[in-house]
This record gives sequence, C-alpha cells and structure tokens, in this order.
Amino acid sequence: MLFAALGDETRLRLLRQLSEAGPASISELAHNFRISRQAITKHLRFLAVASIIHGKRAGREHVWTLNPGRLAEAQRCLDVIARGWDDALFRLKAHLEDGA
Amino acid sequence: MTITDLGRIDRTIEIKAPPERVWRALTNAKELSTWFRVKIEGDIGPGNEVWMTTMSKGYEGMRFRVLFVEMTPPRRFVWQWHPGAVDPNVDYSSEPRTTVTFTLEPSGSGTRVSVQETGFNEISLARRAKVFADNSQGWTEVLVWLSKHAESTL
Repeated sequence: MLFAALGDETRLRLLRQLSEAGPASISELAHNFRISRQAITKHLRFLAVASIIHGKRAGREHVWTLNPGRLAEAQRCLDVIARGWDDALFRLKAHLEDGA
Repeated sequence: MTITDLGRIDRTIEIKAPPERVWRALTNAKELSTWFRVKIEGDIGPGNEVWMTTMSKGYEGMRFRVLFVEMTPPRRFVWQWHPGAVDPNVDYSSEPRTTVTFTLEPSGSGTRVSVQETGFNEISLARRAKVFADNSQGWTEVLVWLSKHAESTL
C-alpha cells in the first residue's frame, strides 16, 4: 500500500509540500497544483488510507499532516538494502581490478 | 530522506576494466557466483530462470528464483527476483518481484556500473531487507520494522 500510494507524481509532490511547508488545508495545497480540488482530495484520501498522512478538522476545513514515522521505517529498510548493493558492487570492483 | 527517491535504489561504482570485461563478470555464472556470493543452479540467459542460494556469512542458505528479463551486451542486464521468499509453506505468487537493472557505460578506459532496484512493496521490502543486507548497521531497525509488520510466516 505504501509504495502504491507513493507511485504517483502528484502524490509525491503533495507529500513534498507537506514535508517542506508543514501541515496544510486543501485550499493551501490546491494553490500550488493545477488540478481540481476533487482530484487533490482523491489523492489525499489515498495517502490517508495508507497512513502516510492524517487529517484533522480545523474549523470548516481539514488540515493535512505528514506521518513521518511511516516513511522513515520504509526508508530504513531501503538503506539496509542499498548498503547491501554497495557491498556487492565493491566486491565486483575488487574481483575485476585485483583479480580476486 | 528524499521523498521522491523513496521506493527505489540507485547505486553506482567506477571500475577500471572495459565494459566487455565487466559484462562477463556479471553474466558468466562462475564469475557472478564468486563476487555475488551465491550458488547458481541453471543457465544465465534472456528469458531463463535460475535458483540462487546465498553464501555470504550470516545469511547463507536462502534459496530463491531469479528471472533474467533482458541481456543487451555489454550495456544492460535486467533480472527480477524476490529474495527472502524462501518459506515452502507460503505462496508468494501475489507478491511482486523487484527488478534489478545493471547499466554499463564506458568511462575513460573503464566502466561506470549502475545498479537500480525498483518495484518494492511493504512486505517485499521487509523480506528483502533481511537478504544481502549489511548487518552491521540498521539491523535493529529492520527487526523492529519486521516485528511491527511481519506476517506470522516471517
């Protein structure tokens, strides 16, 4: 669910905005996106279902906030895998350069 | 953390050997098994599927299938796999394989080798992190992740 939620350019841009500029309402988000509010809502709901963001009612609007823990966990796994690749590439290099 | 980079891995290294030589190290089973530290059962070729078994200290004995999707010498070598899908009692067919793409570019008299891995989902990510992983760092975080999200079969 996490990567399906992330596998969309608009959703990634929404997340980047929430990450860089902090919690925002749909109006504030729609300001930077040239798509309909309806489309933004659809994307935000997708991200909320994946628990990447959560919404809280503030007056008449919902304010959306990033759940940083969720992405950080996935990132940690990716870091572990990436280091595994670094190690493999280093061994490939040694194999070819040192005749190992 | 870069949100736009999440979900894929890109790594590069410069090697002082020409592309054709690097290609052989990637696609010749005997050489691949040496530096990649796997036992390989089957022939490496486009459309072929082999079994690989890990041999690295600490995570040896994990056996899984690898499908070779594309071989364009000496430029591009693509495979798909699901390392960590090793429990005979589990049906992994609904879980996606990740795609590994090696790209070789001439760089001076040597070769720039890039590897990219894409196609993770949450479950495959957790399993995958257990295999070929660098156990020296990040391991406790991975275990915490697994304990929170693991299925009973893990």
